[in-house]
Amino acid sequence: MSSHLLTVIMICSLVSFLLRAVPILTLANRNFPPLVQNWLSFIPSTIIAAIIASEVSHHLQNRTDALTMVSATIISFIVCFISRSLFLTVIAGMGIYLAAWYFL
Amino acid sequence: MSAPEGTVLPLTAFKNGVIACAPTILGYWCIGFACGAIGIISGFSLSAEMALTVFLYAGGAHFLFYSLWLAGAETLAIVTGVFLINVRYVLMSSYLARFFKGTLLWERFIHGALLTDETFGVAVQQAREKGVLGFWWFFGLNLSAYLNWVIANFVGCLFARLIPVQFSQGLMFSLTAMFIGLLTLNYFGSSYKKYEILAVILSCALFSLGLLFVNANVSLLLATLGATSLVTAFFTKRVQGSAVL
Repeated sequence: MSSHLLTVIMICSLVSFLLRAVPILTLANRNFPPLVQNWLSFIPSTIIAAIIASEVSHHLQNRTDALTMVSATIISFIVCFISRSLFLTVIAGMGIYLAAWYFL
Repeated sequence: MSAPEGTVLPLTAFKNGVIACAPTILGYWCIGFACGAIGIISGFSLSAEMALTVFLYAGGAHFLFYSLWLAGAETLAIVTGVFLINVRYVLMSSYLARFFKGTLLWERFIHGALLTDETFGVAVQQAREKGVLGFWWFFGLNLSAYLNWVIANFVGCLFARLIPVQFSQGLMFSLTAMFIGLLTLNYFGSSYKKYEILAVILSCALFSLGLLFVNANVSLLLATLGATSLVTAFFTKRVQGSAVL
């Protein structure tokens, strides 16, 4: 592993640690202003949606398994809606690829 | 003297914490295994993969790191991405802080360092039931989660080379599937579902638009910031403008 990679990993680790630990360490039961609180609360949806969009667009551009990709994405959403289980969602998504490989 | 746990012995509390972690272990294993395997398949060394596992200890950020690093993103972009995907921990951590009054600094250090979505979820349930979060219970929970994550990743690394090529595509998709799961679960947990949907649509739209001008990584971050700000603006306007019931 290059020292550059290690450096970036450690910076990311430090950032993550600070985000997790500072409030608890300082017992900061901080009531952020509502605007900030609302802004922070929408981050999960936007960043994860953007990540998924990024993954899907990357796969659609570079690979020939577009159909498998799209159907796996749709199935994963459906499975998650029904089961509300992260584990089952991942299994279902991977299962589509398995099925595609087996049947095609 | 740390926060009182009633008459429960430390070892018993620790054991209970470990047991409380049990339902989430399967999830950790599945995703941890995939995480380790994907890391190796993508070309990361074992030491790099384990460094991410042991030090970063954040699944979402870990996978995001893979994407960004492999795409050649700048250090700042990677750190910003990791920051944004983990910024929700500030809210979780702030929420849990109230249960740690009277605890020692090093105890809080451990709790903070090992916080995850799953342990937060379990801890909140416990806090609501019992009213307190004893150190040993929480430590049992956190340590189990951490060790299982590390071991699962390691095993994933070991077996990565044994996975047939056809399976590895499916394995790579587990990354996307995990994010799909997180997005959906976040939606269900929200009190403002319509706004979450708006956020998702805006984010995807901005991302697609951004691709016309910048690369995917930059577009991802800009879409996140832009969509979040827009949704917050709509939300603030709506909530403030509507009649108070």
